[in-house]
Parts: sequence; structure tokens; C-alpha cells
Amino acid sequence: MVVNKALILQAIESSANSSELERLRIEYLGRSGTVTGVLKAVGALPGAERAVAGKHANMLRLEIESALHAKGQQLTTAEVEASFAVPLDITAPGRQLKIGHRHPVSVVLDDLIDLFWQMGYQVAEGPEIETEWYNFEALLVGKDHPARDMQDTFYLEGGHLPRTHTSGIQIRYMQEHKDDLPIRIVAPGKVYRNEDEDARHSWSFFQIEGLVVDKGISLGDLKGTLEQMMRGVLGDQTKIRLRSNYFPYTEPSVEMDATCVICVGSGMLVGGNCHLCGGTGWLELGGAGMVHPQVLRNVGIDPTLYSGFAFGFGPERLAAIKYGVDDVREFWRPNFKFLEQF
Amino acid sequence: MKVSSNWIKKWLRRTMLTDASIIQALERAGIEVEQVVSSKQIDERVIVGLVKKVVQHPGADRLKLVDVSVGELKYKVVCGANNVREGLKVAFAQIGTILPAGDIIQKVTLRGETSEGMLCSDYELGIGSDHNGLLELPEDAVPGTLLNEIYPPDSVIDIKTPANRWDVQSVYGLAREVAAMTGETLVPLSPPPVKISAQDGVLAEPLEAVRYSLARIRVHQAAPSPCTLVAQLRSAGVRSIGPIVDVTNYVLQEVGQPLHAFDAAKVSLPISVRRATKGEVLVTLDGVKRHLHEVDLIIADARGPIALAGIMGGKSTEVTANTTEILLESAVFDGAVVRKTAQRHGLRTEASSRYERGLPSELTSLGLARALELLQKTADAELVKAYDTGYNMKKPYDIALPLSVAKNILGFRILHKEAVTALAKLGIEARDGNSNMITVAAVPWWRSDLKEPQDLIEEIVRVIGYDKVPSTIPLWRPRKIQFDRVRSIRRRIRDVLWAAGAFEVMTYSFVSAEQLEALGLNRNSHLKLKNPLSSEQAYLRSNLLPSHLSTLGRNRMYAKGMRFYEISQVFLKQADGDQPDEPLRLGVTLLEPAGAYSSLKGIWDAIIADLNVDVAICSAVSPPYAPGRVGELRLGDVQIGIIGQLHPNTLASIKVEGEVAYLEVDLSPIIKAAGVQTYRGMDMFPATYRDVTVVLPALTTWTQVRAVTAQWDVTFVTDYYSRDLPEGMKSLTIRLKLVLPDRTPTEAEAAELEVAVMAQLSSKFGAKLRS
Repeated sequence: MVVNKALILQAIESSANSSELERLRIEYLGRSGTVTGVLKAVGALPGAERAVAGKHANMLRLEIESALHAKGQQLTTAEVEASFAVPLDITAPGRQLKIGHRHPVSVVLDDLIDLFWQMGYQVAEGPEIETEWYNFEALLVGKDHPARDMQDTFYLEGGHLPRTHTSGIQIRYMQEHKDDLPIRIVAPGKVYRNEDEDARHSWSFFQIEGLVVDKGISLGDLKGTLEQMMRGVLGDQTKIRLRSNYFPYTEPSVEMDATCVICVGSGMLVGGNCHLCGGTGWLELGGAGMVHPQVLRNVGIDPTLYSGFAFGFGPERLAAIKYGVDDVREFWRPNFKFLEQF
Repeated sequence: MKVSSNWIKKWLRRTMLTDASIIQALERAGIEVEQVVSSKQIDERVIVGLVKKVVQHPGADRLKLVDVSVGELKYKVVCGANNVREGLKVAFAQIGTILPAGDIIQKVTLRGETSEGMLCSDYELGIGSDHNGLLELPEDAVPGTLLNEIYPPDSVIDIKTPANRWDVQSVYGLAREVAAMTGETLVPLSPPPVKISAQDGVLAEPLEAVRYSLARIRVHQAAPSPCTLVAQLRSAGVRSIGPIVDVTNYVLQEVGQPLHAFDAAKVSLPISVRRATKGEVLVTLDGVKRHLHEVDLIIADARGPIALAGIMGGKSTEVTANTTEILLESAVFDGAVVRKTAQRHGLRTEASSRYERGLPSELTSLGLARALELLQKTADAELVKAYDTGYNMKKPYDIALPLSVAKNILGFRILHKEAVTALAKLGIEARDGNSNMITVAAVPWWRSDLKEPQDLIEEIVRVIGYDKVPSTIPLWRPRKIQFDRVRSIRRRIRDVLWAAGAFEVMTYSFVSAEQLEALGLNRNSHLKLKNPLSSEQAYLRSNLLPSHLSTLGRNRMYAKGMRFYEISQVFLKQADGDQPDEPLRLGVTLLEPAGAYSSLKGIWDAIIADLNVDVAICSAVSPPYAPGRVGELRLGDVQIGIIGQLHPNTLASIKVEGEVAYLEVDLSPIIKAAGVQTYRGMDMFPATYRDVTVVLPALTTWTQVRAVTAQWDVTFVTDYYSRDLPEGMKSLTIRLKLVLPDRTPTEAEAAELEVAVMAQLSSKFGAKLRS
């Protein structure tokens, strides 16, 4: 049997793809391949001839194998490259992942809680249905106190009321922990006000309340805490200011404003006043103050040894500012067209 | 309350303060500024004119031809206002006037008639919002006077005042705050005191008033109220009525003392202040006939009620243009009583809103004296006699504030001198002496809100400025730190739901009776609001399903499928008067064209697997759900929730297409039971799997199959209900896994396992291998 090495090598070299190459491999080196045939035939030759022919045949086999291998690599590389010839739009939307949507107010609440955890606060909760004592009297808002009109209250038939603020939690927590001071809590929760809704007010909303009671707690500590908190929520450039205000259960009482996130406190935007802060440069965000000594006395904490601060504000308002939502009622409607944007 | 910056400035000595600084000072003082309406300087060409003659425009129904005179000069003006009439004093804009809006008044011809100027409304002049007619000037306005002398540029500031401060519900009180915040000097308000005469039986005993003063004053109503007084009242939103009532209103705004003038000729003495008796009736000044109640506090004369004390006077004793003698009341009533009476009659007035805060008794003499002083100027008043019940002097009290306490509370040191100066600016005098102590010997009568040392700290820091307070973060040396397991587990549950593609929603806690009854719930077993905003929100929900159904309905056009959840408290009514129970619930709703239950069950399985809690499902019957497709969720022996596919009847009114599955569960027991997964190590050798399909009775549950095969590793692959199967049977495919610690199992060992499992299933359920 005669094989033409040049023809074989040429055939290998000119094969167009790896399947053709595989066919050639079988043709030459397969069990009944031509080169295999030559190798087999060598065994039948007489002794001296056999040694020479065997050497030649083996050389031939090695040469073909090496050519097959080299061509094989070349073809594979070409074919891998060729597989990318079909264009892929790498900017086209990927296969859709159906994840859910967190509620924006919930996200803000989580962020706030994380922030307070960093500052050592515990989360405390309290009942949404309160007694008049916890909601009002313990906070120095008596039956005929004019401040009762500040918060329009729902009442339940047969007593109790849906709380108008989370401040009752302060009282409950202080009563339970008065012998276990210091206290550092943050208390989120739903509250209810019997008032008509508009884009900035909903009759049901969240509040988050903070309370710190310890030796030597000062108004400066309150200011510093509020500042850190607002920077955490609205960004590091945020500044705050305190303005005098009145709450029966704190003294001094303050209103907290933070620099507007849109105009960065300037009040001005190209084309006129900032639409978010109305040109003042400040956003009204919450109330705060030093816990009134009478409140401490009411729960059995000695105000000559301990002092404290408390603050409260609305996550909805923060979420509205953060996400640019102009109607807080949207948070409560469940409208999926709204919620899917978060 | 509305207050004008000009009126405040009237009580500041030679002030150069701009309106902006006044507004800033008010804000610093803790007065909330809600809105400011500023007027510009009115053009000098706008002057007072007198309407001489009005005739119909011959060519236009809606226009009139008006002759306006300004002294000797006469002008012809075409005017469309309804209130133009002969004798009216008007604001006349001459040719060339530039109005605040930028319009220039020119000589024009309107349908053939020439107009030599324009008569203006307050809106056109930029001093108000009324553009329904001409600004009507007071009768004493002198033609030719520049309008900007009567209406100088001003800012009307709408404010909200702290509920504990009666004194800032008055112009003078606000001026005091502005002076303190800016360092300006407050002009003293000290009208000549009114001489008090013996009682003479004018006032009946006893009077239910903290203090009651009454002055009999002779008046001459020859001229209307002066322009400036009318203009100032106008800035506070008060309409001019006549020279007497205008003064009472003016004093109310200025010093905060409500006054009421009775026509003396219409009153039969003596005057009493008492509760109304049943059946008594009073027609108040607003013309409303009011049926009085035994708790109403009233002023009465010998014949009966003549005023609702502290709220509104009566029609029968009203002051008119013919009144020549008045009984001027300046009194203090109990704030809570006035508040209740006002609430009962739905009649909250300028007067009642001031009484509500509790006025000091000292105020009545100031109010009376100031009113008399003004009436002498405007109505040529003569005091006949004044009576006064007097009052119990409150015991003067001291407040002592150690500066060390101030430092503790404020977080920075205040010098004795600084503190004394700050208080002095508010008219609060502190005694000299001990340099470590601020002692206020006599708290001013108008500041009875100051009671404790803390109150003084607030006053001091208010004047010094909150910007001087340093920002510090308090030290923290807790006794212990507690991991917040509740929050952590709540977040893990929310994470699974988020990964499952569910929306987190927040819905209102109050629902309607109809929503409850649609689910077969009894409204009477629910907490009910006494004063709901509407019947839609009258009951407190005892579960989340009503809100989830309305969420479905509201979003039914959203998509073919919906997944959402809510974590919220619900309210369970207890025995009357007891604190309601408020379990924290998770509600999850899935809408899918088909197979909603299975998807929901998959989510629930993932949640409990993540928390490593074992929750069983036991079939149940509950009408909102489809039969055979609802189960109780049980943790041990306790039912903690429900899961099922809602019956189409439940969904009938919200018109969604497809299947809806719903799950509601108490989270507290889940959070309590949540455990930690135990790592069991990994298989060292490959496992062998066998899938086996059996036919067994259709009502056999997976829970039952699992119970009898618990010793082996058996998992669910699929089940199948079909007519191809024998009646009452289903097919179930399970996967058996066999793994050995030391080698790969042989085929024979796997076959042995299969035989053992089959034997168990066939003995327990009569299961047969499916061929």
C-alpha cells in the first residue's frame, strides 16, 4: 500500500473546518485508516525490511498527527472567533429579572434605623391604639390644654384613641426602663390624625421618634445628633438649623430645618425661587426638644440627675424630598404604577 | 392670625427694620410664618376721589359714566364696577399711573366715551385680593390725598403662634418679641388708667368670670373711623363696621383683650355672667338663633341672655349708628369653658380663640384703658362710670436658674451678664447678686407660661440664638447592647418577598363596614371610630384582606399578574374599655392566570425555609376561600395564619381575571420560633437517585406521604390528577435519594430502597407503582 504523504499533508492543510479535519483523521489514522493500514502492513514484512519500514511508517504517523493537531488548533481558534461574528447588542436590555419593589417609605425607615443603630439606639415600638393618658396627659397635654387642638384626634367608641404621635412610646419605654438608664431609643410607627388630606398631609402616616435619657444630655447633643442624622439621610453637605417652637412635653422646644436638597440652601435656582423650599433654602423636617422635667418626674426619673432629648419627624416627608414625590398620598394609595418606580 | 409689619413697627421706637428682618425676627422667636403678602408703594398719581354722579353708559350695558371730583378738578371716568355710587370715596388713578402689575393708565375711549383715568379695586392697587369691586375708602378720606399715605407699603404676615403664649396673639406682644430679637426698643403701652367706681348693683353677684370690668361710656358717633385705623384693621382681615365696634376690634388685635360693646339703652341692669338655663335662646350678631345649653357660659341682663361669653354678642343689644351710650365689657373668662361653648355652637371667633389660651386677669384693665383712650379720639367718648370685680392676685413667684443647670441643658456656658441681658430684652427682670444663679423675682404678668428653670433656659437661648448652640454627639456607655432580632427577621422575610417579585404596599388601617361584611365579618366585633373622616374609614381592620382586595381592584388594569405584600398591625377588639390586641401581620396576595396557590405556597415555603421554622398546613373551611383550597397555618398546636385560593365570589365585585391566592400570618410567633439552620456536612460520595411514580388515593396529602417516609430522603417531583387514572386516584412522582458515607451506592441498593418505600406507601395508602 502506498500513501502519498504530500497529498495527505495538503489535504489536512486545506481542510475547511474541524469536522472535515476529524473526517481526515479517521481516514488516515482511524482503525481502518490508510496510514494505520501501512503501519499494520509493516508487521508482515521480513525482519530487516521491517525495521526500516516501521521507522518510516511511524515517522509518517507522527508527522500526520502533528499536522492534524496544528491544523486542529488553527481551525478551533478560527471557529471560536467566527462564533462571535454574529453580532450581539450588548446594550440591549437583558433577560428580565422579576424582583419586587420595596416601599419608598420603608426604605427610608430602614435607612434611618440603620443610622440610629450605628449611634447605639435600640428600636422600640408601642401600641397604635393608645389611652388618653399616654397620648396626651403624660406628655403634659391636659384635657383643656390648647395644644389638644394642634392635633386633630380620632376617638374610638368605648374609649382609647388611635395615637396622634409616637411620643407615647417614650413614656412607656421610660416607665419600663427608669431603673435601667441610660436610654437611647428610636421608635417608628403609624400615627393617625383626623384632618383632611392634601398633597402634603395624609390622615394616616408614619413617624419616627427618638429619645435619649442620660446624665448630662444637652441641647448641643440634640443638635449634633440631628445634624448627623440629616447628613446620613440627605447627604454630607446638609446643614441644619433649629428654630424655637412649642411642644408641651419638651423645654426648650425646637423645630428642625435642613438645607434644601434641590437648591443646596441657596433658595435660588436658574429661573427663580427653588420650588421645593419655596425660596427659603430650608426644609422644615421635624420637631425636637429637651425632655420636660415634669415628663421625667411623671415616669419616675429624677430630672436633677438626668436629662434627655426627644425628636420626631415624618419618613413620608423625607421620602417625598428624597425621591421628588410631590403628593404624599401616593405612598398610601397602593398604585403599582407609582410603586414600580422604586 | 394676620398681622401687618407696619402695625408692629408702630410699637418700635424709630425703627429702620425692613419687613424681611421683622419676618426673620418672628421666626427666630418661634412664631411660624405661613405666608407673607407684601404690597408695593402705590404710585403717587393714585389719589382719593369723590364720586359725584353716576349714569349709564349709552353704548354698553355693563359700563357706567362716572363724574369724579378731586377738590376743584373734575374728571370723567368710564367704570364697570357694581359698587360705584354717588358719594363714594374711591381710589382714582390719574392718567400716567403705573399700577403694580405694570399697566399704565392712559386716556382711552370706550365705546365712544372718553375715560380720563381709572377707579381701582384693592387688587389692582396691590393691597389685597378683592377684585370684585372698587376699594371703598372711609368717608373721612380727603379728596386729593395720596393713596400711599393711607396705604403705605406693608407686609401682611400670616402667622401661627405657640399654643402656650396668649401674648403673641396681639400686635403689641409680637412687637415685644421682635424688639427682643432685634435689639429695637419697644414703645411703652400705657394708656391712662380708668377710674373704677363702686358697684351700684350694676353687676349681679356672683359672676362666673375670672375678672369682669364694665365701663359706661357716652359716645358721639359724628364721624366714621379714621382712615388709618380702618386700613390697619383691614390688614388684619377685619372689616370696618362703625367707630365703636372698630375700636373694640382694634384693641383685640393690638393688645389681645377681647372687648364687647353693648348699647346701654338696650340693656336692663344688672349684668350677670352665668351658665344658661334650659330653653334659653339667644340671637347672636351673625343673625343665628342659638338654643342654649346648661354648660354654655353667657352674659345676661335682667331680661335674659345678651351674649355668649367670650364668643359673640347678641343682636338685641347691638351697637348701631344711633347708639349714644355703651356698656363696654373687658373680661376674662375660663378658657376651657369658652372653648367648650364655642365648640358646641361651632362658633370659633377671634375672641374665643384668644380666651382658649387662658388670658391673665391683669389684661382687662389694659384693654379697657386703651379702648377708652381710642374712643375719646374717634367718638368723643366720655367715661360715665366703670365697674370692676377685681381679681385674685396670683401669688408672685420666683424662678431661680443655677447657671450650671443652664450649661448642662444647653451644652455650653452662658455668662451671668449674657443671661440677664437676654431676659431683659423680653421684659423679664432678673435680680443681680449671686453670679452663679439667675433669679427672676417677679415673672411678668403677661408671661405666666414661665414656671420652671427650664422655661428660663428656653427664653435665654431663644434670644441668644440657636445658632450659638454647639453640635456635639453624646457619649454612650450602655449597660448592654441587644441584637434586634425582630427587625432582622422582618427584613429577611421582606427580602424573600422582594426576590419573589412582590410589591411592598402600605394601606390604611381603617376600612368600611361594607368591606368587612363583604368578607362575612361582623362589624360589631370591630373597633369603631367615634369621629371618622368618612364612612369609608369608620372601622379598624382586624385583618389585612379587605385592604388587599381593594388594592387588587384599584390596580386591576396593571398587569396580568400581581404579587404584593404588607406588614402591618391589625386590631382585635377586646372586652369594652380594654386595650385592643394588635398582632403584627404579614399579608401576601398573588394574582395569576392559573396556579396562583402553588406560586404563593412556593413563596411561603421559601420564607419558612429561610427562617428554619416548621409550619404545618391543615385543611380548613373558610367562606372567602374556594372549597378544598384553604388551610390553616399551624405552629405546633397554635393557628397562626391562613393560606388559600380566594373564591371567585369574594372577587366578584373587584373584577379581576385569573386566580387570586392569599396568605395572612401572625409574625410574632414566627419571629419567636425562627431558628438557625444546622450544617450537616456534605456528601463525600455521589448519591444515587430514583424517581418513582405511584398511583394513590387523590386526597392523600404530601404531608401524609412525608410523615410515613420520614426516615428516607424523599422529595416531591410532581403530582397529576386525571381521568386516565382510576376513579378517586392521583399520580405522584417522588425522588428517592440514596447516599452512603463510604462509597457510591450500587444499583441493587437503590432498588432495595425503592422497594422499601413502595412497601410503606402501599401499606399506608394502598399505593401502586404506576406502569
